[in-house]
Amino acid sequence: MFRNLKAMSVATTGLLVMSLATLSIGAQTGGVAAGAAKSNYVIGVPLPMTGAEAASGAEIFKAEELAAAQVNAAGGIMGHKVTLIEEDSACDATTAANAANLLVTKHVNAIVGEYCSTDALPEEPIFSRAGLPVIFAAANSPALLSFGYKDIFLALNSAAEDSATAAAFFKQDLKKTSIAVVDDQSAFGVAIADSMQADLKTAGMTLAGGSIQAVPNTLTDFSSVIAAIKSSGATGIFWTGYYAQAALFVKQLAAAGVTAPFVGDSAAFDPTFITGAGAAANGTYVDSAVAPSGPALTKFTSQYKAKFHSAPGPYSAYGYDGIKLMALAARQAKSITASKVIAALHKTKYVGVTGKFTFAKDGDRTGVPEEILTVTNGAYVKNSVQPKL
Amino acid sequence: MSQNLVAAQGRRSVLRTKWPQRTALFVLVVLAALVPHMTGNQYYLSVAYQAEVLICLAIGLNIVVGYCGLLDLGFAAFFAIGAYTTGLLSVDRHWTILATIPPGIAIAVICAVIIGLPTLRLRSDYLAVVTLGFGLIIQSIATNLNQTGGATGIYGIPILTVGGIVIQTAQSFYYVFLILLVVFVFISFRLRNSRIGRAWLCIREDEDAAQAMGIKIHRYKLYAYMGGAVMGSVTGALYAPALTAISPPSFGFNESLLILMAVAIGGMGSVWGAILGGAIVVILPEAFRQFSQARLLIFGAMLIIIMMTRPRGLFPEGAFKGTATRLRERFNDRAPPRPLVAPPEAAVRDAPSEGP
Amino acid sequence: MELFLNELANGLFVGAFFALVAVGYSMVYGILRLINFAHGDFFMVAAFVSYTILGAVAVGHVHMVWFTVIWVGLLVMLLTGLLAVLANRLIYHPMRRAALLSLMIAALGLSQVLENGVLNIPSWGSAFLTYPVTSPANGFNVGQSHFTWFQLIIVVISGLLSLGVYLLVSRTLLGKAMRAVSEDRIAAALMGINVDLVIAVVFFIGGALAGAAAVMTGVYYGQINYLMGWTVGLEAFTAAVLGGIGNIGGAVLGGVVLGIAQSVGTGWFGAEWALVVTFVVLVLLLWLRPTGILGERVARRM
Repeated sequence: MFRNLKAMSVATTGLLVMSLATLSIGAQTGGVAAGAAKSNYVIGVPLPMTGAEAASGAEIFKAEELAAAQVNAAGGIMGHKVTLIEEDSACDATTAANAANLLVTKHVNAIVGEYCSTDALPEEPIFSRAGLPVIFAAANSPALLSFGYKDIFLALNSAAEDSATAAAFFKQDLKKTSIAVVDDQSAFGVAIADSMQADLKTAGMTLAGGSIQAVPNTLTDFSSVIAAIKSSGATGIFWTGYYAQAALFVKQLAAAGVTAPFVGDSAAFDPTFITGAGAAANGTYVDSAVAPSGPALTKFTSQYKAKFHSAPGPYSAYGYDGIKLMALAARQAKSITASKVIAALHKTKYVGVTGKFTFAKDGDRTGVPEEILTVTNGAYVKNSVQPKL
Repeated sequence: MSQNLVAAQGRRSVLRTKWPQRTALFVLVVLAALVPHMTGNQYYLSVAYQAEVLICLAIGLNIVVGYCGLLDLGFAAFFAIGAYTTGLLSVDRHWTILATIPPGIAIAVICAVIIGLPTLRLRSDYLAVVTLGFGLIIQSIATNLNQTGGATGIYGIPILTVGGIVIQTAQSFYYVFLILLVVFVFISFRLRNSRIGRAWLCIREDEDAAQAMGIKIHRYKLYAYMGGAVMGSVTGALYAPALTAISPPSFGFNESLLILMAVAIGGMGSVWGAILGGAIVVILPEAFRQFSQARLLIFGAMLIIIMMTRPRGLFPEGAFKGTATRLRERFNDRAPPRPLVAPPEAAVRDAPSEGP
Repeated sequence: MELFLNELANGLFVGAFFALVAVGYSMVYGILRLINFAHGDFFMVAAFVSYTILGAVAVGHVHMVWFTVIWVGLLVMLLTGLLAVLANRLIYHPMRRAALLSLMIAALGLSQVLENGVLNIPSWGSAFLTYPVTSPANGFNVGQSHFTWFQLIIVVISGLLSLGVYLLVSRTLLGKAMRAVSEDRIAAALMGINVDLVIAVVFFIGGALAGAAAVMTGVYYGQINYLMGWTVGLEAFTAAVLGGIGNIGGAVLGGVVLGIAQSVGTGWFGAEWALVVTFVVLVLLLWLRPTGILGERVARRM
């Protein structure tokens, strides 16, 4: 039984030494970055690179790399070169907290990233304690702004108004008042679904079936949910989950012969939704603050495609703008000191590829109107009628 | 009669192994306590305290799986119960963190009985799926109820203060969990060598024989669940303020598997193994961070390799006893005292291993 | 009542998927007492492999598409079967004397390797991929619910495959060898049964069934992702236990019962409680019948 003791202790020690060594190598690269921080402006990028949202994380990070390269090509920030350090937050609170701590340890100057609100929530106090300016690229749960941190900014405006827009669209334009609300049990989806429930009440509309249909985000077969929606007599369907599941849902709705119009929230906005749902995607709507368009966006898309040989994701542009904006704020502050950059961000007026940037006192982006998009012939177009709030 | 025999052997092993274990524990604790002085690195310390958290959980699960031999795939549920009780009471009712620990323990024990009772008759695999279900049910409830914050979970958990000392930094949490860890290790060893512990081992080795010997297996199985549940719950209660925000995904099936992995990698039934295993499952994926998307790939491969080369775990039960005996032999230059009745070790060692 | 019948029909359909994966799970368990957590990931890898093959061959042959799907399906069944055999040969076989828990952890490791392996292959990665072939939408109505013909085909294929495996195990000499090995491996070996071969065949069948389920999932749902195997594996495992693990008829029955429990649970309490309903049903069932619906008492080894 104990003959292997020596081998075992060697193996164990070896394993531990190895892992500690790798750990310290990791930290040393951080140390280099810290030492070099005098000439570099280091931006920490926490994003999900593994797990269910890994695809979105990778798309946003690429766009940030593109932006950083462009800022550096234009001379950097007063001579400071912009460098990015990416850390995996995995759309999981604990991993995200680790990623945030690691970035703080590596003495980053600022943070631009995050896609999942689940990650952003535990990261906030860590970044705030370190006094870093933070721009969240796509995490936009209203809860993020509820603590009064002065250094947190949302590049994608808080989803607080999403549901109001959708409710108004159902009532004014589609003339449907009995709405089935379906969320995917994610922090984001549930927040929007709950505010939709309140908005329906205020607007004098009915929540079909009396309660929100919450589906686990791993569900692939919606047949029983669809049966429940059918029997509830809903005339419209509002979906607050992510795009991949939305594609399955819409396809199965069509196969089951449901004709009630489908409106998805901003998380459902992604070209993958259209390819995934196929013909069933036509005639669906998405309620989104994410409807950037115009020549600037087209230019960004072609630059992105040229560099990475793939199309950017729907939130890539927000990561891109986040980097550009952080660089601009530092230039305007004429300093890379965190507190001055934060002050500059509060006063910022910037036009990026996703439109105009100004921030409210709580860090929410203001002045970006909500829009309803519809899918026609397999592509997103702005809907001809828009609700008035 | 047989009970006495087991008791006698148990006491012997305590006598034989007490000093090296104590010394080792003492040295480890001193070394561990010095770690924050060697590095002020916030990240190292936060990974370190997360490793301590996982070790605490692994020690708790070790009671259920390692001592009593009950396969549990839903242990994270007790972790969740502790964390959520603390979160809810401290945020909604403004209790201090420490005051929330007793109710957390009470709820965990009740749940342990609820999960324990219907599973007492089940053998390992069915037990596995029922405990798995229990874990998923607790997670589902946390996700579905508005009272528990739904999918967003609970955030803004207040700061932990112990006797006026504010515990907020990774360093102070490192010490908090170090103390908890030492307490758990101590309790584990005491339990192992108690009447309850010996009963657990008997049940693990042969349930039918244990029953035939007059051990009330149902009662002792429930004790094992309760012991594990209490440790899980207390760890959760202290982890909530460390994280400041808790949400259901942190307490899912994957977390349960991670804790079980720690126990299996370290060596089932061995507290030292649980410590080593817990450290490995937290530190390895973090150490592989530089590989970004490939880090879990490497972690998975390491798991396979460890299990193939050391199927009983890195530090299996009894390994330490072996070291102690050897040391004694070397220094005292005399043969170790032979066990009273059990066959000499050589005979056990050379006996053919049990066939599959 | 009509709603209930619809839910029953929906449950039956979903259960057909669970059953196929569960049969493989259950067979491996029956013979090795191993909870093979990597089984769901065999299913996932099969989906990706078939995605790539179909993407390469299905272009342009619109009228031949169903013929193509069938032979690709058979090919993928073969490949997935071989993958399972390979996993057994490289990992489980060398560990056959290890404790069950160690085997299980190795299976978890393999599951991580497969998932993250797919994640790191550039053309697969983490995105939700759209399957190259989709099922036609025409079908028939049962009460208020609409079912497509393809759904019916899936149920029939699942049933036939399960029946085939059942006949193989209960009627052939090979099946008899499998049962013997599952009963007592050493005694079986002493009787001259090639135990390693029997185990390999069991892994092959399990993998092949997972491969068939994967192709049907791809065609029906039209979307694949590297994490898709995890949930399916978990549900199949539950189905296998529910029916009485190690028992093929039980696995099929377990799959159907699980599908119906989820569907009815969704209808009555909402989708968010489906999982809770499922497991409460499971606990109650196991409380009444501690060895599953059709299970026999199996020797314990842990």
